[in-house]
Amino acid sequence: MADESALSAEGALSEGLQAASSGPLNYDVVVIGGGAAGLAAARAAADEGARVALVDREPSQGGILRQCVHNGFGLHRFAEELTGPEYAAREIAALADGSAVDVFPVATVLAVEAGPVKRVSVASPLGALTLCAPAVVLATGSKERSQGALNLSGSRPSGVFSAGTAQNFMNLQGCLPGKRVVVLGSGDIGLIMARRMTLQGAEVLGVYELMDTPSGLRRNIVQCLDDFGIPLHLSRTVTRLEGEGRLEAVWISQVDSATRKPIPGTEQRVECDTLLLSVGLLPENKLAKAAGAQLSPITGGAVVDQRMETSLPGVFACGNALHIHDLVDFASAEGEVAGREAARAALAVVASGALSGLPSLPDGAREARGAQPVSSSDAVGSLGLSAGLASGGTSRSSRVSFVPAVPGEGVRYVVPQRLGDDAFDGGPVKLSLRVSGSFRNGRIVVEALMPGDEIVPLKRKPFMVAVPAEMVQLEVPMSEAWGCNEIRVRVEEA
Amino acid sequence: MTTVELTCICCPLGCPLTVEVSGGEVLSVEGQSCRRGAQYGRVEAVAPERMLAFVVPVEGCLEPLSVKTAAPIPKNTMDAAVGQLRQLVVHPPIAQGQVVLENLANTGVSVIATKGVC
Ligand SMILES: Cc1cc2nc3c(=O)[nH]c(=O)nc-3n(C[C@H](O)[C@H](O)[C@H](O)COP(=O)(O)OP(=O)(O)OC[C@H]3O[C@@H](n4cnc5c(N)ncnc54)[C@H](O)[C@@H]3O)c2cc1C
Ligand code: SF4
Repeated sequence: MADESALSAEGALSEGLQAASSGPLNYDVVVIGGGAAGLAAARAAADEGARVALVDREPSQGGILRQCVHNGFGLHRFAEELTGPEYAAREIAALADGSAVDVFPVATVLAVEAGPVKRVSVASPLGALTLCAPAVVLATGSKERSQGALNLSGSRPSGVFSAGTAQNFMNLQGCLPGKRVVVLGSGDIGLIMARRMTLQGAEVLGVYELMDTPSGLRRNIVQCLDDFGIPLHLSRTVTRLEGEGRLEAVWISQVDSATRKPIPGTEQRVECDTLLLSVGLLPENKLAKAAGAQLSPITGGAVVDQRMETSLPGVFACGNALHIHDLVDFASAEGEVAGREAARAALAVVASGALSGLPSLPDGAREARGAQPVSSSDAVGSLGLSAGLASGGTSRSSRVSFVPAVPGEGVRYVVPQRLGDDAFDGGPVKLSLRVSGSFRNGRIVVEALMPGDEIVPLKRKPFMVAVPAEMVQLEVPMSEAWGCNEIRVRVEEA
Repeated sequence: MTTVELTCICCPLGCPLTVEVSGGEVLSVEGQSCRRGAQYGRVEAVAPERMLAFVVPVEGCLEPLSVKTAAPIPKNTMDAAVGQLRQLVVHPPIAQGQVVLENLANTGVSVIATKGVC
């Protein structure tokens, strides 16, 4: 059943039909993924005056928010606590509010071809479509780490779900995945699902966590487990599944906290019909990878600069597709940056005339250009694939040099991973980071390593506590770092 | 006088709180590192409240409706509230924000739709 707040631009669809027969559809910016990050990116790009297409494989937008029916979204962005569907509805309404965004629902992007003009191949009920634009925003969200990531022996019965899949079953399809449930992993999704399943009438026997500290937020431990008397067992893991056809029991072992290996002889049998895995999220980076973007081995997402531009000029990334966010508000804010910068890059290309060989088009004319289907031979012929044009007009990235932003002691990663020249002559730059362990009463230090070994401090942010589960964001003034070799972010303990 | 042990959830520090209660009145809160913790302990020890989010079936429709309480309800009414919500079936169309049940478990709080179905 369609959510009444969902957008499905009739115009875009009929245009799509036409395009299917007459060639690619041209835009300034194509946003891939209509979750929190993609919705914000599309809106921000449209606000810059770009013609925008927003493509999502689901019938309605909102992404993961649609299945997160619990409260706790939007405290930063709307100064109020909303449920996931409510947050999504606000973003969708804001997008519909007069902005020139063509929304393509039930449209799966199969590939993005990089180049001065990106070609986005889409499978939809209308058939195959090709969307062309000088700039693309990747906002494809995350995937769940699966059973394959675990070292389980025994049979492979049904009844083993990732927590997010179970959440989708319950909250969007209205079915209870099981009656007696064990949760492996104390990530927030697992904790929230332990509560959801209890409320809906299942018995949740316990949450088992490999590490000696829970990985979810304390708020969720208290409100999702303690409130319902669900026990949390630390330093434990599931080592064996039992059951033919359906799961009948799991075997749980204690884990040596130094080696994180199961301790022989500690196995215990717990009867259950369902095992939920809440062992973490990873950026959905298939499209970025296939397009040839440089990826970070730590975040699993693309490497970006402060404009959220990947190593492929004109290809931007944001939200969980870039690095896993615990707060949707931050994903939206990141989407805004990516959308705005994608629009500016695209409009600069259009204005330079590099694509059509024409002088810059006035705003109104651009509208018409965007809507006009162009035959694919035209697209290749007139869109200037020659190297000269590409370096001249496509993006500053082909001309600027980058300074790396690197994690120092106590920091696991920093996004953006590199800063372009223009990061140093404007306002402050926002850095997102995660610490690598739990710290108390310390501070996060950002410093510039200048030529000649001089170190210029840029920012010191004291904290009472910093944990890996919570992303930290800092606004860092960069003007004094002009000419530096490296920006380093580290934790300083008191 | 009774002693209630709590963990403050207002920030990741998670201070262990010890609250002295007598006759439903909070006498003291200890263990917090800031004022928010004292405030949390004061309420949580004697009158804890929770928002309740739930999913209910929609007649003639596979996709269920997500709902929430319009305001937090006392924690000790949670069981009754959940029992009542498990019985609820709603009829489309329903707009986001629409009241689908009034006075949940005699709390005076209504239940509202967090999305629309048509
Ligand atoms: C269970 C859970 C609970 C959470 N709880 C909270 C909370 O209480 N408070 C809070 O602030 N945050 C919470 N978060 C975090 C927050 O919700 C997310 O960080 C945020 O919603 C991510 O948005 P996104 O747009 O990056 O990704 P998503 O919402 O995942 O959106 C990605 C979209 O891309 C689409 N897509 C992917 N690939 C393709 C393709 N090839 N073609 C077309 N479309 C594609 C998908 O269909 C999807 O709609 C939670 C997250 C989860 C998973
Ligand atoms: S008392 Fe203050 S510092 Fe301690 S957990 Fe609560 S909010 Fe955080």
